[in-house]
Amino acid sequence: MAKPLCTLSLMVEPDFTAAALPLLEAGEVDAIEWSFDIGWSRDALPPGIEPLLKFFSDHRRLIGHGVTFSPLSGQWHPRQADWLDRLRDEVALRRYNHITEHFGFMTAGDFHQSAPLPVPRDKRTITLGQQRLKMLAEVAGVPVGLENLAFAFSPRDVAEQGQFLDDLLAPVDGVLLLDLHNLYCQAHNFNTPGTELMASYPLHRVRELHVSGGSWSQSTLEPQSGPIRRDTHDDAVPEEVYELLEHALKVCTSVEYVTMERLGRTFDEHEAERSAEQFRSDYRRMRSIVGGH
Amino acid sequence: MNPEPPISDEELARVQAALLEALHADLPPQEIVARLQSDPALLPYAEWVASFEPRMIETAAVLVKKWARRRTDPATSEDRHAEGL
Repeated sequence: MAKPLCTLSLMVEPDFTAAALPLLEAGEVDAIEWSFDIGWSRDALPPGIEPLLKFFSDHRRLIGHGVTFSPLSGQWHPRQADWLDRLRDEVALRRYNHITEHFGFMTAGDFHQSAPLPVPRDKRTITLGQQRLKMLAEVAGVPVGLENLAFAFSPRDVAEQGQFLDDLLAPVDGVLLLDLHNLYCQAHNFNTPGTELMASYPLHRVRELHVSGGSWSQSTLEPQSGPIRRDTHDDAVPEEVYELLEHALKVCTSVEYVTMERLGRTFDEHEAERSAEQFRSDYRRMRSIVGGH
Repeated sequence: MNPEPPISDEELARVQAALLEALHADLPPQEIVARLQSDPALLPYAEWVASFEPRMIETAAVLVKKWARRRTDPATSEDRHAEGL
């Protein structure tokens, strides 16, 4: 197996691009992951983003990551049909090596956007999701897949997500984007060993890994349960995620991309350079671990 | 050959809409938990909803209040990002 490509999830906010520029200039970024539907919501992309995407597209080093399709929304909405139409234009414009979306739903009723939430696994939701994935695959024309979810309401959600993902991906021979921080969130919040949880996923489908940081919150209803880990993409990568990366690179034998995620507008305004350096340090540590396998 | 028409599961859609409405409601966490446990719209998936842990309902309410946008809400600079992606 060739070494996975060290990949950056590209954000367009100035604090992110300022922090990432030294990595790009030094040739330390092998590939770019682009959330194309974030770009659709803007009149124009900031200067420099289009040429960067073109460069990585031309060199077959671009992967796509949708955010707003909401494949497991019960209702098929015209917004989703529009999304597929725009994806058709997107894949004509840029060459993506694969395209992924998110497990779960984030739109329903009066809400056209939300945080992604889980869906119970049964025959109906499996059939629904399989059809949505098939539609995505037909438009994309490249391998498609799903990312595991960070949030779970209960141990039941945690226990059934791996099998649910395999159910959805199997008919299109889809790829699993295994987000290691999302896995860490579920492992911590439900007191399950991360490696044990990882083993419950269809690891033969893993083509991409996500690495990121997050934050903590506290329940007022059940404070005795301890802090709750959240996937906020706004801080340093925790040690536990690096340990999961080491393990994933051993047990997932088809990984092609290892991608660092960090949201724009999350770098400390008062300590901008320290915050940016922490991000670059995390990226370089990820690269070093990948290089060692 | 015509492609299959997209599937909608109206019952699941009503459950998801009721879930987002409850989590988005301007209520204290314990009242959101009570609303989820008694909302008739959630009955088709009552067993699943009964498995929810109160601390995670509370967390979901924080997420939904931060990231959810109604169709009538004006666009903001934070649209299109969300936690957990």
